[in-house]
Amino acid sequence: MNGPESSKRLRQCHERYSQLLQFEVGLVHDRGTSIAPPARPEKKMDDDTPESAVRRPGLGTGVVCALLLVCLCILTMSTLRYGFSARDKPTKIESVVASMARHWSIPSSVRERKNPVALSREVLADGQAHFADHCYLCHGNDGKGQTGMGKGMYPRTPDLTLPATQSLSDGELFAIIENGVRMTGMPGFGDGTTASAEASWKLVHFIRHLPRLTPEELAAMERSNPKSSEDWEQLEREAAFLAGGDEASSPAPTNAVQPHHH
Amino acid sequence: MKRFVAISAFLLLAATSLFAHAGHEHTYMGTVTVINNNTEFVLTTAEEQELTVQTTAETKWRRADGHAAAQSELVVGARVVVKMGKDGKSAAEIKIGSSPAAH
Repeated sequence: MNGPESSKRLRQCHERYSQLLQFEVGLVHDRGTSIAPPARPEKKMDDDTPESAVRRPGLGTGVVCALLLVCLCILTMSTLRYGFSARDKPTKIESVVASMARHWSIPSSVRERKNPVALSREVLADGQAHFADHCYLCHGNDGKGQTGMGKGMYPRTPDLTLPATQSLSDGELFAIIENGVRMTGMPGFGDGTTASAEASWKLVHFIRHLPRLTPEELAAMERSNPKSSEDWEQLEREAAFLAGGDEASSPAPTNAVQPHHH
Repeated sequence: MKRFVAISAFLLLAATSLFAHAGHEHTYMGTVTVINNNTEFVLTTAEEQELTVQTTAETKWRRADGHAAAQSELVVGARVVVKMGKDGKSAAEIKIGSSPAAH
């Protein structure tokens, strides 16, 4: 770097520093503090730049900062007093923002995709079995989300039979199953393989079928829901009792009240 | 000493709340002895304990094989498995099993 150029760069830096200092002084004055401005280089501004033009952004920024500070104080006080709970109902703003974020998180190329798996009885059965195995815990076999887990989620597990979900495109449903939704209880089930994608597309077909689920299909799903060994033993005891087994060895609990597995 | 008592009381209360077990479901099994009306019946457990069960429009009625049943299938003498709702007052699901007529 030659001498004149270096000198020019130095002068530009100096001018920029001066402008920044002016801006900072404006902020301090707007807050009404009595802090003396620090020693600064001699003011060097363009002649056609009025001082008010420099002060105005300082005033606006100060107001915004003050408002943010007030909001932060209110939020902090509210949190200290009431705390956070997943049992609360999400606010309207949160719901709207979350929906928008979910929408934006899905690339338009994926959003516009149609289900490449042709619908058939077998495909629907596969989707149903998959749903009963992986999804029922939160969504329920009927997709309404009225399960112990689903009702405790924040945000609440959506009712998949309602238009809010049914109106989503095939691609959106696929992306949600494959990639999950951040800051919710919905995990991403995809692993990038063709088999995973095919299973997810089958699930998309089954989700479309949820509003027309029959009692027989529901009963079949309940039979295929994953269960612990305790659950199986309980079901066997119940089945034996209902079939009229010996009452003396009936499944009735010793205290007549059995805690349900949860 | 006072501090010890206060801490002990706090821990006792905290432990009690842990075991409160509120809001969870329970299962009862027994034989229907009385049907009062469309929303209430009484069952007797194997331990001869009587339990009055409330039903609502939300109560799911099923047969032993899991298929849907009608409330009218509930008769005196039928064996039932009742899963209570989270409110602990009304039944969420009732499975109807064999009745005396079936034997």
